[in-house]
Amino acid sequence: MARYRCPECGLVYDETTGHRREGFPPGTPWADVPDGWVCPDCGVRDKVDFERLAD
Amino acid sequence: MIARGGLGWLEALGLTITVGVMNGIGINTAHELGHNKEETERLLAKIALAPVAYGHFYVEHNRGHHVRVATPEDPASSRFGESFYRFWPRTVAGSFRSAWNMERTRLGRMGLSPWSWQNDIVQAFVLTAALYGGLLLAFGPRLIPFLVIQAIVGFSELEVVNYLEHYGLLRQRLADRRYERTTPAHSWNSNQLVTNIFLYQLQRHSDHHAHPTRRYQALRHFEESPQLPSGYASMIVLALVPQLWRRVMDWRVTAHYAGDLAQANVHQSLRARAVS
Repeated sequence: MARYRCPECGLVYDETTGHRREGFPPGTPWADVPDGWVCPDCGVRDKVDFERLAD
Repeated sequence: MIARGGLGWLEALGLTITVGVMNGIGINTAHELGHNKEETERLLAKIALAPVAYGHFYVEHNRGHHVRVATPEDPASSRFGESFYRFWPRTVAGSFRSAWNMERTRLGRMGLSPWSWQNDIVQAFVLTAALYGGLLLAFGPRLIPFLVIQAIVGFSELEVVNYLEHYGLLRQRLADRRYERTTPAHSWNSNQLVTNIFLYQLQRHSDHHAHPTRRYQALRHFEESPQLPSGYASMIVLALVPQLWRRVMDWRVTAHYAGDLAQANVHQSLRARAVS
């Protein structure tokens, strides 16, 4: 399970916990997050901008 | 005061507009709160938006306006040559439509109907309905024109500020068709003392759009971003008189793009002329 971080505001998407409010239940892999998904906290960086964190 | 009667219609109208302006400034407070990550502050943002019946702003601003700012796709970014009176219906209707679609998409992923209680817009409008309902029960139906007019004044104040913050500015497309990142060059800045105090440094707008979760106390002033010639109060008055606005602002947009309006966000009525 990997984690991805928004380079602007630091929001972390963790595949283990998903993001309930955004409609991604726990265990949702990053690949299933739509490409057009935008960081829900800052709104300035897209999914493709997110950086994978070291495990 | 309005419910008790005794005010002439002119006085009642004056009071109504004053309340509208105050609630409009409340939107600005909601704006700052709505950007914070804390749940309590986000709830306060929804409460502050209830009196002007503009709860969808909370959704649209963070997830719509900030994503598409200074592009033709953003209803809340005004275009070169677009008067405030043309901008107003486009932003009022477009912002609501956009916010609703975003909530529908988000709730759809959760397997919920858009009419679910978890829809932030539904929550916001229920708050407004409760507030207005309570006031009407307490003071009677003569309050209806007051509520309607103050709400329109309040959210129009927000929209006129939207109008002046990005007039004519455009993010360029990159080779992969995405828009370039939002930088200080994509918002008009104003660094006047009075506006700074009243609006929580909202008009240090360039830094705000480049880094939306930065709290207002920390916003910086950038000399290199395009500068409004005056504070917000005088710019709002100019925006209400389109001929004056265009005389003051159009050459500034042109100068910002070094004479090349093909790089600006130009209203369709002027595009053929501007680019030729």
